[in-house]
Amino acid sequence: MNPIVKVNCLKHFYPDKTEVHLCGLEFLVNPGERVVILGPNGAGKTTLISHILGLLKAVDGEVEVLGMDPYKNFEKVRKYIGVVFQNVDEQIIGPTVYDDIAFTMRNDKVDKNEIDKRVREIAALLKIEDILNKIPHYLSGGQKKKVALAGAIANKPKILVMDEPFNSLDVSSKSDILFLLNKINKEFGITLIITTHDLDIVPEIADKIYLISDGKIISGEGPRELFSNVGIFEDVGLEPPILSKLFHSLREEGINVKIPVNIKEAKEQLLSVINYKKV
Amino acid sequence: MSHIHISDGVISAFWGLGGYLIVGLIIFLILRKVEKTDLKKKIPMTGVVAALMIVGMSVPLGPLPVHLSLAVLSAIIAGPALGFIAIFVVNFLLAFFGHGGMTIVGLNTIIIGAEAFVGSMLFRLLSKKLTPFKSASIATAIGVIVSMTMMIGLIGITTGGYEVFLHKFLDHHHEVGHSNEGVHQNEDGHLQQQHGGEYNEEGHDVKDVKFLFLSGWTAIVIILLLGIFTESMGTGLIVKFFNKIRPDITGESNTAVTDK
Amino acid sequence: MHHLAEIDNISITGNSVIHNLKAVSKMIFALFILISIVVSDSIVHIGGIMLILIGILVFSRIPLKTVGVLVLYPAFFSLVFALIMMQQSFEHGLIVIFKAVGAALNMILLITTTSYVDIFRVLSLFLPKLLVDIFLFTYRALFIFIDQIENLIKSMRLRGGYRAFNIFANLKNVAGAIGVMVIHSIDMSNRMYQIFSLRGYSGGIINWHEDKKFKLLDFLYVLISIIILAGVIVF
Repeated sequence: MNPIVKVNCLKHFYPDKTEVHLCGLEFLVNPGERVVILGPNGAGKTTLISHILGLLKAVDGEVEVLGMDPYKNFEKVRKYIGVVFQNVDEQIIGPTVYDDIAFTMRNDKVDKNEIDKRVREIAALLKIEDILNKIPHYLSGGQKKKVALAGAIANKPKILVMDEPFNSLDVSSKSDILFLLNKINKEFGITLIITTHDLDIVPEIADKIYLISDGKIISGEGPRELFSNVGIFEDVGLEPPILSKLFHSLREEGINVKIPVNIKEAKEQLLSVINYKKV
Repeated sequence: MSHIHISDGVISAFWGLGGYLIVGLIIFLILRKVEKTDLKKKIPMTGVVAALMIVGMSVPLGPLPVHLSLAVLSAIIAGPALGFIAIFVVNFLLAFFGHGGMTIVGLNTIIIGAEAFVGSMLFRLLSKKLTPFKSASIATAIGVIVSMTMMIGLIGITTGGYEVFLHKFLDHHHEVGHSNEGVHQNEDGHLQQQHGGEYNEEGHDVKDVKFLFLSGWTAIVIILLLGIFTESMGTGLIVKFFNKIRPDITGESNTAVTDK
Repeated sequence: MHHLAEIDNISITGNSVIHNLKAVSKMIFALFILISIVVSDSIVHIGGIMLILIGILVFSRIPLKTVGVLVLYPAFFSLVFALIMMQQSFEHGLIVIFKAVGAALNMILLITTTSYVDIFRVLSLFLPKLLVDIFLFTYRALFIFIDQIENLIKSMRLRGGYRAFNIFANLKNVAGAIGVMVIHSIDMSNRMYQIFSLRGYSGGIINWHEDKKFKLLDFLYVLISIIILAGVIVF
């Protein structure tokens, strides 16, 4: 299978003279995959995705999206990518929710009736039909995120890129967004590339995780393999997932457990350890 | 600063319409250029700069009866052309709140646009030799003086303010203390002396006129000077601040000398 | 600046007859009333128009306190010119104030019953699309900045950077706060342009489309303004 996104040893200079190098593993994303990029603040996650989106030109290195250089072929590549940035206030421009969802399709000169159909379909999928006529800046954080997401997938992209999508969301909104992302990945086959430093969510949304630290892309494993290695998180300055820490400490005590990736697995492990039998 | 806080109906609608026509033409020409070049990427910035101006106006400065307008700053950041459009947008939106009449928006834009244009051009020139603070302050001060001059001139011409002063307040008897430059007889049969371009009815001296607002003029001058000072200092300090962190905003190559 | 947010809220959440009229009708009404006020030189006419506007504001359940605060501004500034005109006659001076207040009431009626977005939509019919885009970007950015500047000023006050009579320190610190906002705003506008480019932006965000059909009330509303204008001209 040919990767849909390929990045190799990237170098970039910002106007304030900050240098970003991202070398190490080759960053590869396969079609339909859910890839999470982890790293502490300032590691280069946003720089990486900005290059993938064709917004920045690499001084050195290789960036390929759908077989094309995204910077040079910006207009072609952008039609296959939907994006949700960290601060959705800056990306919602439509006067109403409807207008914002329709924005990309209108710019791409899609037929009016088709636009209307798609907007209503997406709104129903994301359960935001009741706010289609609302003005976005009066919506809650969670609603704005959904509106931004709706706008990003309205034109049926192949890839959805999200930069810290779970920031400043409450627990309920987080699980809403998680559910929706998994749904659109499964139902529409949209490849997901997500940056976050919320490790507890990662197992729910990742097929593959890339860890970025100190200019290096390390790991490229699934959550199970990566979370078994608690030390790697501490090395890069990230707090390991709480379940990983707990079960790792149990293993250090000599208790034979596998490192779980979610509550369900953790429960099964614990119950088997205490030999719990239902009466 | 030189935003004319004149409401609708003070200045004749024809002047207001003329203002709109001139502004319309200028904006049309600017946007045509924007369409053809990659200046389109500055469209969001123009809106952002306009919003910054409105917000800047609302920041209280303590007991000062003035506020920052940030017109020159907007032209430094967005360029004089897009800065002009930002100024139009600001005036138009403020008119909805009664901050200046809707019919005056065109004239206001021309005056403040002139301030921004002069200020930003001077900044570019001065910053090659002076520090960002000095160049921004001096450029802004001169820009504000230009716009104030235009404002006073415009108000005088359009409202006939000068005529009101002359007709009403020179209508009493005083000794002439000046040499006659000519004696005319006007329609009413009153003798008038022409003195330096100003008419004295029945031969009295303009200098001796005690006008209701004469002491008020002192207050107005003080406020104008305060406005110039505040705007120029404010702009200078703002430019100095962000130039340290992001010299690319003003164009680093423009600033040969740096503030300490 | 909280007026702006308050008025935006009033225009969106209001549910009076006037709120539900088409934006076009309300803007035409405002235009004809403005013309009436500008061309008239009769205190009776302008006073009558003001009473009508106040009546409509009350009918639309617009908080008169908000209106009063906004009207103070043009009333105050028109006083300067009114005092000049009063040298001709007291009536001349009063007309200046009435025109200022009347025109302001007219605009306030429009913006408290019509959202900015609807106003921009109507403007998109005849203004260049890039100019309307700038209006929209300004509107969006304003709401982001209002929160930011309030927080910055609060923070300054709490940290002793803003004192009532310390003009020089205030100016310096306020300049710093605005400087911070300049940097954030430029970065924000660059990010905005990036994301809009990704979404295919090439100018022209707002489309003219109108869900509401013209109703009899729209025609009546416009007719009232035409009658007022005709009355002012004829009488």
